[in-house]
Order: sequence, then structure tokens, then C-alpha cells
Amino acid sequence: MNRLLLFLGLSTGLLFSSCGDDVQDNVVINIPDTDEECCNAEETFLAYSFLNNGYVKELTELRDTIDNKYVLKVYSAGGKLHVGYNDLFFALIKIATDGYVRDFQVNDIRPLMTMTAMGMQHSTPTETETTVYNETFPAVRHAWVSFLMSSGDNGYWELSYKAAWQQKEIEHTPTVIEVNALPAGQNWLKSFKKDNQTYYLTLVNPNTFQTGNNTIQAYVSKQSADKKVPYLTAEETFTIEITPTMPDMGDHSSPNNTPLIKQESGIYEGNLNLSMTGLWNIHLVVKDQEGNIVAGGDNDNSGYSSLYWSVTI
Amino acid sequence: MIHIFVCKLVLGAGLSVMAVPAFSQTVQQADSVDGKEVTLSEVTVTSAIGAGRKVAGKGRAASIEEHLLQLGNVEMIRRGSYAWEPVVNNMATERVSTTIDGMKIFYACTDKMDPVTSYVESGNLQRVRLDAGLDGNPQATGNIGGSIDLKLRKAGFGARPQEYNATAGYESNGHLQVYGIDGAFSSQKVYANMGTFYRQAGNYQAGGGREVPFSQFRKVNAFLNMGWQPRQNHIIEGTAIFDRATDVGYPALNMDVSDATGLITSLSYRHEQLPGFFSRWESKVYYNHITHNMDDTGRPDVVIHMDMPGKSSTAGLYSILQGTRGNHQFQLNWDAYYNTLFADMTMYVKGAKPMYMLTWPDVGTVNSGLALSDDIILGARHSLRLSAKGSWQHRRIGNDEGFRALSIYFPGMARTATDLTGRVAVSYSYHQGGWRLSAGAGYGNRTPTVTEAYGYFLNNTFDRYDYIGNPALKNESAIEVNASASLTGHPVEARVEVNSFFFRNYIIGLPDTRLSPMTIGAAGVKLYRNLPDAQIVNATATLNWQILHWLRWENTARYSYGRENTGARLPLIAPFSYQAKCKVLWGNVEAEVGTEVVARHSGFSEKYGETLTPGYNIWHINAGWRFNLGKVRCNLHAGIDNLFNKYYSTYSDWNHIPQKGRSIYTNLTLQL
Repeated sequence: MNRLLLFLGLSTGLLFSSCGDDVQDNVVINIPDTDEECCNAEETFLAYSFLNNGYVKELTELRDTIDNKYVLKVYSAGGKLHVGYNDLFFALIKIATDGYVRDFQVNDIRPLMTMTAMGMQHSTPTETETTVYNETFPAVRHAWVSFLMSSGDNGYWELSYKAAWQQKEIEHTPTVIEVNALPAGQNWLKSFKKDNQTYYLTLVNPNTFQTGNNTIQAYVSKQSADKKVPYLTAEETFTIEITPTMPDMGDHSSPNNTPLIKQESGIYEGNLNLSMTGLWNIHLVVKDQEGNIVAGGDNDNSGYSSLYWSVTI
Repeated sequence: MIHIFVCKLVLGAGLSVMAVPAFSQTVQQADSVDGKEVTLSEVTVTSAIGAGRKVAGKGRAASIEEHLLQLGNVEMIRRGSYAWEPVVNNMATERVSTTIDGMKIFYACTDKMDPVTSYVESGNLQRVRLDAGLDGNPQATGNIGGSIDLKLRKAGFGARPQEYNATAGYESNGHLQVYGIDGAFSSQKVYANMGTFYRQAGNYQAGGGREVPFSQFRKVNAFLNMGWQPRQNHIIEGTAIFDRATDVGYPALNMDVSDATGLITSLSYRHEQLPGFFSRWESKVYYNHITHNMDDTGRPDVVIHMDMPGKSSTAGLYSILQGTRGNHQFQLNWDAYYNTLFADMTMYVKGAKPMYMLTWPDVGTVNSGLALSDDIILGARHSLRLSAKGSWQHRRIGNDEGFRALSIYFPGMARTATDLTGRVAVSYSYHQGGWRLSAGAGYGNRTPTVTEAYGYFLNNTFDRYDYIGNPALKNESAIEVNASASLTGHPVEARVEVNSFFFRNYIIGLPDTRLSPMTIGAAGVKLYRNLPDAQIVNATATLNWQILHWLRWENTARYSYGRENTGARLPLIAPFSYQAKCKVLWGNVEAEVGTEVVARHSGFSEKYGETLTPGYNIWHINAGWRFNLGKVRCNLHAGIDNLFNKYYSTYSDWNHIPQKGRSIYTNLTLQL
């Protein structure tokens, strides 16, 4: 077996500067050059850089193997999970060569909360099927879970998934995971009811928000009839109008925000202006396709919708 | 338009170069003939005891602002008892250029708590020169209302070999104390003078005895001037001023200042008695830096504690050539400067992450200008003055976060702005016997200030609005016309002067109901906008009567008017006022009794947040005595301001904070 040594120095860092800025110099990666299953050198480099850039870390409790030849690793931001939106990243690694495998599938991701005191179980808004996270490195697949609540004395979370590669399929049995509460000043998940149906509004990771104009993204998920089944994104189309305010500054607001509109991929997207750092409440008015208000029509003390996400930038 | 202007400028230079008649005659500067200049030495106790001069009983113990108020066209916006903002021809900082010995300097506080005049001390100065209107001093830019140049006090070559001064002053109201010492050393080759000053006051009392809280201040100042003449007429001079004010209260605002520090430095080379076309050449490089920290920790009931520091630094140079040829006296000046303004604000909320924003997004300004002026004696009775300046300016927002924040309000705005501005002025005067008639006209424009273009949520406690700058503003321009008639005679001197400014694209803040204020309790948000037109008219009449050789009676009446395109009144336009003084000068003794009558401010600007200021009448009295104690020359002054302890505030007292009640003062200056 030939070994291709990649020295991740300044020059390669410049070539592939999309990520990998935080990679240490002179890390040696083994890349099998004749392995059809695995990614080529560039894809491997990008996948490695992404998964080792310090931002994502492995959730070791969700690790699994296929045939003892391949190891499936699951990553999240900081190797932790919290209430609200979480990105999950999946990578399949060939144990013999340390190469990243392409064209694998992870699906049927099932988070499940058991509420011990009440003897109840429920799931949460989830993207159950993974997709390729970034076409430039197809070795990494992505899904998301938006947890309704944190693990605690009242209950615990478990997560299971299925993975398939070529003709082999495995099932990762439910494993207990730790879901932390979000810090004060952060609230990324809200719900509303329409015709006795509960919907969830998940604000996609707002950690990149900064002073100025931001692209704001969200998902609208629908509670499943069987609450133990993950809540998938709603097929209906809504419009989510947003008004950001600063509760500590007399509900100071900003102009030129645009409503969240459903995109082809199913994600909702709009523009959010934040005029300074600090705590912002993003007040929401949800309208159906006919323009009828379905949620957020009632105002609280701020004079804006009582339905709001909170972010602190 | 601007292109044509630049061409004219070059042409003008060409003409004045060619028109050189063969005889030589010195022309007195038009402005000094007009009496625009008031020298600080004239208002100091030392020289105050002399006929026909302006007298400020407090002499060197007076603040710069009190000296500036001696100038005809100057009013003051007062936010406390320290750092007043000069207003010239009813135009404030935005439309007035202030320079120190030709050096540009810019204030560092987004709330205008530190007009640049607050970074010098009376003892630093020889005199203050004011050029009203568009005919500014050569280094001035953006001076529609006028330009103030603070001339530093330098010992000079060949003066007294040694001289020492000590000043102490006390004012009963607010226990204001002033102390200063300075020394000067001079020879034909070298000179140096240096000094240090200290000023301190507690809270003052308004008329009737009510204490005005947060009106205290403390200030130290030190200066050094040095000159070296290695060869005859080749002169190298250096200046350094350090000025620091601490614990400054601003009763009209909701915060104070913990410290405001200025460092002003310059180095210049001067060549006198040049042969050839130009007789004098001076070049100067300078640098100044200001830091300003607001402080709300002393205030009760602060909802959110805030830190609001500001920084301003300016590096620049100018080079001026002056000459006299035939009946022309001309000067040519090139100046350039680079200024950066940075201010931010951090608001601390209990249990939450601090809120942060940039109020001046690190704006860098490069400006370079070329100025020309020519004073021409047209004949025995006629004279003409021409002046022009063209400037190029480039601005850039240096801070990403600040740029992004402003882009919320102005999507797609440019990060840089480049402008050409200029001014031209012409004045003609005719004199015969004691009469002198003058008329002048000028055109000029200015770029928006950093606050007007890029300020971010600057709360104005006057109209309770948050102000946002507008990067899309057009330059403001104005046409000025002025005329004066004066009679200099004995025993009566009289003078009438009128000037009018007709603005295009007048810059002022207008409410934008779309926007939500940031400051808790603010009335709304104002954006700076261009008004199609606006107009300001000022008229002054002076009548002085030398009743007896020791008794003089001086009268001044002033009227101003300002309105914008809708007919609404402009804010901060002075009401009608009348001042009268009786001055006695007898040997070594001088005395003065005076009154000021100010009419009800009926022309207040309701649209721009003003409320009515009632009229008032106040009296003052002072006396001075010059005597010698051995070799020491002493000047002792005492006086009472607001004699009848009247409670009043002027139209320009921010939020109608009351003026000082009765105040008894005394000061002593010793000179050896």
C-alpha cells in the first residue's frame, strides 16, 4: 500500500482555505490511493480539516461499527448537545486505512425523551435523513435535531439511527445522550398550535449572528400523531414575520428585516438586522399562505408578538 | 461645478502673481481693520488698563469661553460650567472651524462635551482670532459660520530676558479657584516659555441660591513653547500642551466626564525676510491626540450603566507663504491633515451580556487644501480682499462592525466618501474721513461632519432624540452677503453690521418614525437630512461714546433670525439682546458697570425641540487696580457677576440649565 503524505502547511492551507485554518501543521494523514470506497486526497483533506478544526467534536456515545471494518462517528458542535437546534455530522471511516468512506447513508434518526415521573415518551423536531453536508467533501453527512428540553431529573434522552453502506446495514440501538440547557438569553425553539396541531419553530444555529445584517434560517416542524416518532418538517407553507427587539433597551428595534420565506429545500430564510450586541428577542408572527395570522397575533408588554426566539450576540 | 471652481482658483492665483505693481506698501489685514480680532492680552489684567480696549475683569483667570464671549459674533452653548461650545453667527461646531495656531484639532466626544477650545487654557494663549463667515483663516475648512484661531502665547526672540507670572483667582459661587504660574526666557537666538495652570470648581448656585448638582470640574494644563534661531531669520519653533480635565459635571446631560485629556504638539520652521516675491515662509507639522471618557457612575437612578469613551487624533501639516508686492498683500497656504475618530459604547445590564456598539466607527479623514488670499489697495479710499480655498477630502469607515451596523440603516452604503469642497469670498471697503463702508459676498460648502455622516444612535438630551448619521448626505453650501458701515470719531464711534447666509442642502436632524430609538425614554430617532434651503441673518449695532477722557459708554444691540424652507425657525438662534457698559479708566484704576438685556426668545424653534426661554436682565460690576510692589507688577481685580442674583438661563443653555447666580470674584496677577 502506498502512502500519500499530506503536509498541511501554509501552502495547502492557502489552497484549501475554506476550512482547516485551525489544523496543526505537519499532520500526517494516510490516504489509500487505490481504494475505490474512499474519498480522494482533496476530499479527505477537506473532510479531515472540517472534522478536526476544533469546532466539532465527536459524540462518542453514538459511535458504531459496521462489520468491524468501518467505524461510524457522529459529531456535534463542541461534542455537546443542547436544547434547540443542533447540527449532527456523520462520517464513516475505514479502520484499515483511516480513509473516509463516501456514499454511505444514515437515516431513521430517532431522538426520544422518556419522562420518568410521568411515564411518558416523546420525540422532537428532527431531520431524520442525512444529506451530504458539503459537496466538496462528500464524506461528511449532515442532519439536525432540535431538542425540546434538556436532560435532567425529569427524564432522559436517547438517540438511535440506522446506517447503511453498500449492502450492509446496521442499527444503532438507543443510547442515552446528554442534552444541556441553553445559557440564559438564548431560546431557539418555540411552538404554536393551529387546529389542535402543534407546530415547532426551530431557529437554525444563530451563533454566527453579528451586529449588522444576518441571514436568519428556521424550520417549521409538525408534532407527529405518535409523539414518539420524530417530528418532521411541515408540508404546509407559512410566512414568518420577524421583529427583533432589545428588551433591556426599551424594546429598541431595527428596520429593514425581511420575513422568513420557505425555500425549495424546506428551510425558511429571511434577513435579520441587529443594531448592536446584547440580548435580542426576535418576535414572530406566523401567517399561512392566505396571509391569515396563525400564531403570534397577540402582543405582550413589548407591543410585539408574545411568540419570540431569544438570541444573545 | 467643482471643476470650474478649481480652475478659478488657479486662475486667481495666476492673476495675483502677475499683477505686481512696482511700489511697495503694507496693507493692514482687513480683519484687523474690521476689528474682528480680540487679543487675549487685551482682555488680561495686565494690559486691560488702557483706553478703548475690551475688558474682562477676570483677566487670565477667565476661561477661554469667557474670553471668546468678548468677541462680537460669539455665543456659547452651555451644558455645564465647563467646556462650552462656541457658536459663531448662530452656527455651532459643524459650521465653524477651530484651529490652534493653524493646527486642526477635533473633539472626541460624540455628545459634544469637549469642544476643542476646552483643551487649552487662557494662559496658553496670546489672542483669539475670529474670522466671521466664509472668509476664514487659511487653514480653516468647512467654516461657513466662521473660523476661530487660538494664537499661542510665545515669548519670542529678543524679549525680556526673564519674565515670571503668577495668577490666582477665586470666585465665590462654586468656589472656583484658578492658579497659574509661568515663566519666559528670551535671547536673540533662543526662547522658551512654559507654565502650568490649575482650575477647580464645585457645584455652583443658580440665582436664588439653588445648587446646580453635577456642575463641578477640575483641570490641569501645562505648556511649553521653544524657539531657536540658528541663523538670522531662520526660526525653528516647537510647542507642546498637555491638558487634562477630570471629574467634570454636566448638569444638562445625564452623564459626566471622568477624564478628558489632550496632548497638542507641533514643530515648525519659519523663514522671515525672504528676498523675492514672498517675504515669509512658515511650515509646520503637528500632532494632537484627545481621549475622552464619559462617566455615569456618580449619577443616581442610572437604568443602565454605560461606558462611552472617544478618541480623536490628528496629524497634519501646513505651509504658508506670505508676501507684499505693490498694493497687494497676499498669502498662499497648503495644508493637509489626517484625523481618526473612534467612539464606542458598552451598556451593562445585570445578568446579561453587555451591549456594545460603535458610535463613531473609526472614521479616518484625509483632507488637503490650498488657500489663497489677496488684500489689494485699489486707491486712497478703496480696498478689496479676495480669498479662496479648495479642499479635497477622503473618508473611510475603519471598523467592520460599525460599517455593518450602519449598513442596516443604509443598505448598500459606501464605505468611503470623497469630496471636493471650497469657498470663495470677496469684500470691498470704502473709507473716507471717519467713515468706512464695507460689503462682501462669498460662497462655500462643507462636507458633513463624522457625526452627521456616520454617527450611530447619539442621544441628544436637548430634543430627546437619538441621532443617526446619514452617509448619503449632500454637501451643504451657503452664499454669504455682508455689509457694514462704521464711523470712527471722537467722541462717538458707531457701527452697523449685517450678514446673511443663504443655505442650500442645510444639514439638520429630522425625525424618522420608521426607526426605533435605542436610548430608554428617547422621543424617537432623527436622521440627518439636507433641507432644500435655510437662511440665517445677523445684525449688530454698536455705539460707543467717550463721554469724558476717563469715562466711556459702550452699547451693543444684536438681532438674529434663522428659518428653514418650510418657514419653521432654526434652533439655537439668539434672541434680541442689548448690552451696555460704563467704563472708567483713571490712572492705574479701571472699573466697569454693565448690564445685559435679553428679550424673550419668542422665535424659538418648536419644530426642532426648543421651548420658550423668558427674557432677562442682569448686571455686573468690576474694578481693577494696577500697582507695583518693588519690582513686582501687580494687577488686582474684583467684581460681581449677576449682581442681583437673578435666576435665568439663556436660549443656548442646554435643557435650560440655570446660569450662575450672584458671584463675587477676585484675582491677582503678579509679574516679575
